[in-house]
Amino acid sequence: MSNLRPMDITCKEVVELITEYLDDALSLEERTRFEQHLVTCPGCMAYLRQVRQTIQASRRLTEESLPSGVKEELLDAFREWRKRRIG
Amino acid sequence: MPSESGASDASGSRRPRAWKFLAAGAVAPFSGHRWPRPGAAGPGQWVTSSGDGVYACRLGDLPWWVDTELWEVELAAPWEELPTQLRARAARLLTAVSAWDVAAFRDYGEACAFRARDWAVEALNTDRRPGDAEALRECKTLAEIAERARALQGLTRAGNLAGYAADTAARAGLGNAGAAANMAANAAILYRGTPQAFDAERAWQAAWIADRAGLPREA
Repeated sequence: MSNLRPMDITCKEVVELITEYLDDALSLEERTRFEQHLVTCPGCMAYLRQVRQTIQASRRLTEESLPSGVKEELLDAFREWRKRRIG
Repeated sequence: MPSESGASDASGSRRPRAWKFLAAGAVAPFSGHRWPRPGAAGPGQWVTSSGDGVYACRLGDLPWWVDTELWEVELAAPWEELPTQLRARAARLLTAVSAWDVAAFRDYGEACAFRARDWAVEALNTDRRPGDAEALRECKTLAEIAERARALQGLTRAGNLAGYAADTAARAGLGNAGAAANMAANAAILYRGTPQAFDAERAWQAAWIADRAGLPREA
């Protein structure tokens, strides 16, 4: 019987585990299965790259770097979203 | 720089020959880290991990981690043998395996697809469907295999193997050799009727990669 099988992990699980993967919080076996899935799945590999790029980009952002008006637009959007959830 | 880089580690075990697949540009596929290449002065700089180590392959591990660049690497002691990879405190690139490139990567996926196709052909003949078997056997391209095998997909053993052949050919046709090889290894379980066939197929794939890349089989 094989020691580790890439198809034992699904794309959905990759999405669920990606934060732990990036935080180095997976066990060696979990991480190996995660990465073996990536070898077989270009979609999940692209997703990992996108998340890494997003993290890198957000590290460069500061509150002061937001263009004028964007902060208010975001706050309005959050308030609207919260209203809809409560309503 | 690692201080212990002799031919054996503290336990006296001999340093294994090791290889590492990287994406184009000597980039680690998961971390995005660009490995320092060897130069005129010698091997690339040592790479240590911020995590729990640096990983590399024995010959038998290669199918699990296939990519478009293959490098021979040197591991710094101590190293550890894991089920599908080697782990070391640090590693550095020694030489690029020039015989392994994008074309070899694609050919590897294609070889896996044609192998899965041949199993489906054999199963169709066993099912006394010589016409279907011959039609699939005559396919010359991945696209033809994918289309023909998809039409033969069904719930019987032969139909399932045709489904595997279609999926394997489709992935190989997209240049996704890693997925094609994995599907072929799963198809082998059905073809041979035993779970051990998965590892046997991985061994066949490792030998294919070693031959194409010109790696020494005894490593």
